[in-house]
Amino acid sequence: MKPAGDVFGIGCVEPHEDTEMDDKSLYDQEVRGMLASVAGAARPDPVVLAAWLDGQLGAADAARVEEWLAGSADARMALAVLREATLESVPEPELARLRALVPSETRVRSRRTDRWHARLAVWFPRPSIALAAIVLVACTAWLGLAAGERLAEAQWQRQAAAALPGGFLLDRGV
Amino acid sequence: MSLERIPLDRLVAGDKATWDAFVGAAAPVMRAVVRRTLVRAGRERDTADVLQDVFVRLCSDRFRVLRDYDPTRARLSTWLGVIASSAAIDHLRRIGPGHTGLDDVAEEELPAVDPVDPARPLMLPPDLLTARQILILKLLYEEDCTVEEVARAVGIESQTVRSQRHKAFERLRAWLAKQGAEK
Repeated sequence: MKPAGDVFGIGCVEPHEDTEMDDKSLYDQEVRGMLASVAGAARPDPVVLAAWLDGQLGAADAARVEEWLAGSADARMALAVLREATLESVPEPELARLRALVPSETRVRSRRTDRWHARLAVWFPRPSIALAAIVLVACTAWLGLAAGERLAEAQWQRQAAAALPGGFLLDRGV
Repeated sequence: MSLERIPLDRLVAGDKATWDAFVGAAAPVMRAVVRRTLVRAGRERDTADVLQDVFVRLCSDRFRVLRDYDPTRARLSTWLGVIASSAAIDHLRRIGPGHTGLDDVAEEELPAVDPVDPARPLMLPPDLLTARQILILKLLYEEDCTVEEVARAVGIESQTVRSQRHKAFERLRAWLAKQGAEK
């Protein structure tokens, strides 16, 4: 029996033509089983995989990611999905639920809020509250000044009375 | 607002307006990844739940996962895609044996290929093929991808895929011929 490819019938085998079909059958018969026994690398950190997808990894790190991809069917499935990166419309109720995960009263303390007027805005979010606070502070100050003035006058009168032997009360303007 | 323009410092500080903008920009990218992963296992109906889980993970523990993101290493959209993909695959693993990758099955649980002839396949020398060559062969012959699809997946030119496949088979044939000669 002639060997496969021995078209000349003289034991001279025609040079092997490296077709895709030959590769496929070789893979199925010999290679698949061998590659199944090759252990894959550990699952990389998400940012490492993302860097590989963006073409930002060096050769050594890229080889480790590719080893993991070669060793895991799930990883290859993930790769296929990630490379098909598209945008998909999200139903509004889903978006609303996702937005609600962070409550609205959360506020950021930044350089801007360190400024006094920004801090005031945090304490007094409504103009009416700010106005009431200003009126309250003004009234308190006025009452405090008036009380202080009366107290000072009474003290002065006591001192004047003590200084005059007749106990005559002098008017402050005299 | 574009995803790459989201101010991360304000986002991880918990600013509500920034979070809302982030959700608007990130959800379409992540939903696509989650749904496409789940649909392959017939679990498309779980898309909203898995997407919600991913966003909960992103904002929980004072945005710890988002704080770990390093913008100098990868784009935010790519990184979020990886996070979403990982969550969807974890979900499929959790829900049951309907989707168990061969990688997750212990070797002794796998059915014997040939009970009559338990001969083990030849062990491939570790340095015969590069990781990239093995990946290319598996994508071509186990995932049934075209050369163009493999090129897109690995991020290389189609011509590079062909040349890497050619080199891999050259090495394999030479090694197998040597094994045959030694027998």
